[in-house]
Amino acid sequence: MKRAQNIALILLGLVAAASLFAGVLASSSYSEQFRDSLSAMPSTRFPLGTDELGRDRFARLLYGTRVSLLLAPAAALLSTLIAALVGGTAGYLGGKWERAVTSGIDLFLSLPWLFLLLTVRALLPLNTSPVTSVIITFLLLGCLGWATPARIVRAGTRTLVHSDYLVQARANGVSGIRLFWRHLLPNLRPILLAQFWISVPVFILSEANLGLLGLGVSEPLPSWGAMLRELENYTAILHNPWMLAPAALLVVVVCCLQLVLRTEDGIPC
Amino acid sequence: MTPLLKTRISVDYPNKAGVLRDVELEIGEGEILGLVGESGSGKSTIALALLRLLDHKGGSIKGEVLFDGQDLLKLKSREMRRIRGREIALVLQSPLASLNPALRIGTQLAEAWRAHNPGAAKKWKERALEVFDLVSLPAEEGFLDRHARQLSVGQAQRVLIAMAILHKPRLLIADEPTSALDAITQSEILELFRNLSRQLNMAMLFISHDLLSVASLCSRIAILRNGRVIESGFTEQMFRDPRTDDTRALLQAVMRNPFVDVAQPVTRGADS
Repeated sequence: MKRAQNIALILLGLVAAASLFAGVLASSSYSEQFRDSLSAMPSTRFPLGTDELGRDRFARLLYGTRVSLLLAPAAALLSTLIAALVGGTAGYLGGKWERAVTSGIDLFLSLPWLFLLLTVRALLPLNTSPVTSVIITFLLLGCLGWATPARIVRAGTRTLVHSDYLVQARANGVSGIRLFWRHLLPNLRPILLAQFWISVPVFILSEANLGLLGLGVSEPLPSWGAMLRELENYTAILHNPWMLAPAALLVVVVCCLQLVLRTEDGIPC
Repeated sequence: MTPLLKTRISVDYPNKAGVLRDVELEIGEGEILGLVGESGSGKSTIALALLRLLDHKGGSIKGEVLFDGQDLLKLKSREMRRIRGREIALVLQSPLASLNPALRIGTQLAEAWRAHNPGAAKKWKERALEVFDLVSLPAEEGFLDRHARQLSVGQAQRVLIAMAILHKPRLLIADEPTSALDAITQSEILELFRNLSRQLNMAMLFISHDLLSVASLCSRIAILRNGRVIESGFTEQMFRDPRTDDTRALLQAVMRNPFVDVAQPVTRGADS
């Protein structure tokens, strides 16, 4: 187990380093179109060939990795913060507030998200600039992913509220926001950290799914999700299996993350 | 003279009614009252009810808690917060669980100080070292940087007592403060309570199931059973002449020692 974790860690490091040094490793930029070689086969010039617009797929994969590996943790941070705020307050206040928030979370989780996301896509302008699209993706991921962690944070807060040291703090005259912020929140840190790290691989996958819906990072900026959209053309895959490279990389990275986060007893930390 | 605390309360939990039924207690200025009862008799509920800390468990309190003439149950929650820790302090039964595992000792003392001195929050360290000296803890700054897990149970209990007397409260409620301690530490802590009560003219409600430590510390005792006070009176009188069978049973349970005849006072040999 330990050895597998080390190998996973090294693989993740290699992927991160490769995306960081994309400018050195790839000979061309991610948006430059080589009109004389559209949908080219792999060659020494284009290790993974080119796409329909004649862009170097290898360069796009490296830059796309950069975007996806930054976006997922950022969105995980946002959703964990929302979860801490919503779940923490609900568990802390208890009573009717807690019931209201719990029902809210249940409702949120039972919405048909696929259709709602398609609606969101329809509401947005057809061509969003790459920067806006990154921000929208970040917000969408963060705002969609908070519900499950919020539930866990609420349960954790509930047990902490009854702990002796919080009763003692209240008996010392501490109350309100200060009790929550200074006395309760530091003890939620392990739960929040765990939620953050569990969210990262989930969000890498979600970003790819959003990309497939046309909601992810927009052209010409590459991301794993955006690159996977190429796979819609399934007849081409049979002749050009290297088109699957982004999918393969995604699977490898998510598996490695899961492996690294696994603790001794097999539960993600 | 009006007593410092005069109370008559009933407490119900949502799924358990009558946890306390018309419990009457009276504590004079500087007096130590012992409250004895078996597990589940409602002892800890009294400690929390007097400070109105039962809301998180959903407990509801009826009756009155007259502290220095004013009814605490009628106070707004903001006014009640000003009583907690400043006029009435609390020490709970498991010292290590009562200290926040995520915070340093110093931070917790600073928080307790700041709760009633928001204007002079900086002065906490001076006062903290002062009370550490009173409870025989090392009055050095390095100790303030420790976490609860780096303390022994006895030290943790002293830290909590130090925190409790930070604002020189007039009443200290101690809920089984010695039951998690070994016999030697137990007697040291009892001695500490006795001295602090005298030095600070601080009244105490000493809650315990241990009749012997109660007898050594308290001038008066109340016996709690099934949420009612079944007997109360002066310690010595109760030991000599218990009025109810329940008290007699309790006394016998404590005193049944295979090597000592209950009829003979244990201390006789030590005196001569």
